[in-house]
Amino acid sequence: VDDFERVVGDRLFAAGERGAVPEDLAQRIVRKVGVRRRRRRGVVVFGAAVAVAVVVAVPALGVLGRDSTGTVTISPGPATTPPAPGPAAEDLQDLIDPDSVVVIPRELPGGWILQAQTVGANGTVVGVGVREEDGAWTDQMWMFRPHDAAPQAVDGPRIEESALSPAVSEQGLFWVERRDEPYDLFVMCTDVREPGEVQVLGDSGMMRGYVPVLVDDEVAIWTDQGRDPFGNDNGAQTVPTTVWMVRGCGGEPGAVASGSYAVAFSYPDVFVRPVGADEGAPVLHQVDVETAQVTGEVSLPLTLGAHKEESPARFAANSTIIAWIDGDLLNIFDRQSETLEQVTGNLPVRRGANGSQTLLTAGSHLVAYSSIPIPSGGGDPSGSAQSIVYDLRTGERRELSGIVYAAGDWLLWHGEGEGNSSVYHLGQVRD
Amino acid sequence: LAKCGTDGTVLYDRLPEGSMDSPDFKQFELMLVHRLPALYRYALTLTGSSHDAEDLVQEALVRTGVAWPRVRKKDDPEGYVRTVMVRVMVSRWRRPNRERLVAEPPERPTPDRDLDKVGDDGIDAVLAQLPPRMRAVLVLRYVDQLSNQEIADVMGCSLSTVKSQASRALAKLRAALAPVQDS
Repeated sequence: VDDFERVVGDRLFAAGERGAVPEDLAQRIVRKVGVRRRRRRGVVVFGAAVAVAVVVAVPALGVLGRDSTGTVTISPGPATTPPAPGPAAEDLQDLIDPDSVVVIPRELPGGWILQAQTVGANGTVVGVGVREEDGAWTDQMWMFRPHDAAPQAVDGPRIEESALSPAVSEQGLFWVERRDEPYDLFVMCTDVREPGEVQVLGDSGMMRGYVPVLVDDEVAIWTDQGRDPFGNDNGAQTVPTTVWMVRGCGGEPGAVASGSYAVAFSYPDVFVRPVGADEGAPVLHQVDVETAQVTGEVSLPLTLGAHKEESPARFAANSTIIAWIDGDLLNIFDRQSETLEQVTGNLPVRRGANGSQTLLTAGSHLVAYSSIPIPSGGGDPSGSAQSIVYDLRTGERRELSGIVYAAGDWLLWHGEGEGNSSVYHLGQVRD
Repeated sequence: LAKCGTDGTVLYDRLPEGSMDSPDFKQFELMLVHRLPALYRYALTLTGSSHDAEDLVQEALVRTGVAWPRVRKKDDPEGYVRTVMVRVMVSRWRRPNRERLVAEPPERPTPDRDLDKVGDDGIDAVLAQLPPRMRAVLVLRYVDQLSNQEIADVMGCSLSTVKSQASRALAKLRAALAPVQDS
């Protein structure tokens, strides 16, 4: 340290001696802690869904696309909706092969019940155990494969104080974990074939508010807003929000895009949206995760994001389409013809005391939309959700009670088992 | 429109271990009462601006308060707050609409005995214009007396980044002050 550096240190130190603490600062901090704590408490995330509170219905929206014209109005439904029994397997036999249907008992040891959080393309269901009375969660994740008799506890992932949005493939289970670090949202993984050893894939702070981890064909995608992987430190004005990919738990994460966040993924294509695009710039870029090159573009309707506070856009993709929810409209964009092929409106909305959240998933032939009420005291809203299953081949839509996931050739839906018990049904979609 | 939950929170936390009235949280309030002045001064050192310092210390302590059930188990909760402050500070340069730092604060100048200690050699003005990350490196090195590796750990960056940021910051200072010193 030379004299000049000593002077610099003195001046920096002196800068800290120049002010008094604002009088009400401590009170403001305590108040804000209370607000954030309450806010974090009431939000549940199902798989690729992002929590959103819906308090007031959105009035009339314009309809885009060739199948609909004019204006539709959201049917807000009652403020609270009692759970209704979901469809029996035979009710869906035109969509689902009855011989493939398995019933997943939801009762877990200790009186907990399984709450599905995601479904993999191979039909693997991952969830947590919840307690009806207060919504508390078990410390472990639970997994059910189509050949299992009951959900199995997964070694490795520990749900300490938060949990999050798992995604599963044939080999890997991915999730987000809150750590005691300023970049606090870590991306984690364990090999489902030999669970137990946990890998940290991302330690740069998951981007909040958007789709967490997306998985297809053993490749996982996530977005963080931490360090800049391209080393653009010197510019000091770059936007380092970065889309990452990794192949399997043991892979080395690589940057796919910067300045964007991922919204949907169907290997090898991830659809990313420029940061700040919520206010305009209605476009998605299609990026090849192997080359990090932009290979396509999807123009989004100008209405997207116009009512994001009521229902932000949700996206889901498969190899042929990308779908998104905009207000009460389900949009299907054909990736081959590059046209907006189908639009269906009047999607149901179900609200709890703390609003609702939207889930959109895409399988090989079906797209599933669920509106899930968020109850005030926790609990399990799986049966209170209202859902739409949309057949991409026929354009037909089916309205169901209870939560629904579409993944690969599988559909998971909430239903009623023996003795009016709550169960999930898992079945393969007919070709 | 009433709204809630639109701040981007995507995770679900289990029900908290204690309410705001719990003994746990009282510990946080106690720390706040006793350490806020020191933490605010540290924020002033980091930012060089009373407005930014208030914003920074508030954000860091709110994050700490929210995570208090976990943070309180640490040996050094205050160190945790300082680390959060540094990281929040250095992440600011990443924001696309980052506030532009100005040499002169908007408040009216008031007589301050300590201000008299500051020379008119222009160092403070140049320090005020440094990017947040460079300034943070200097603070950690010359105020906190941390080694480069310790600075890298606190900032969550590589050792080489620390060295380059420190080197460039000092070069900027020397270059900006050269005419003054020459004269």
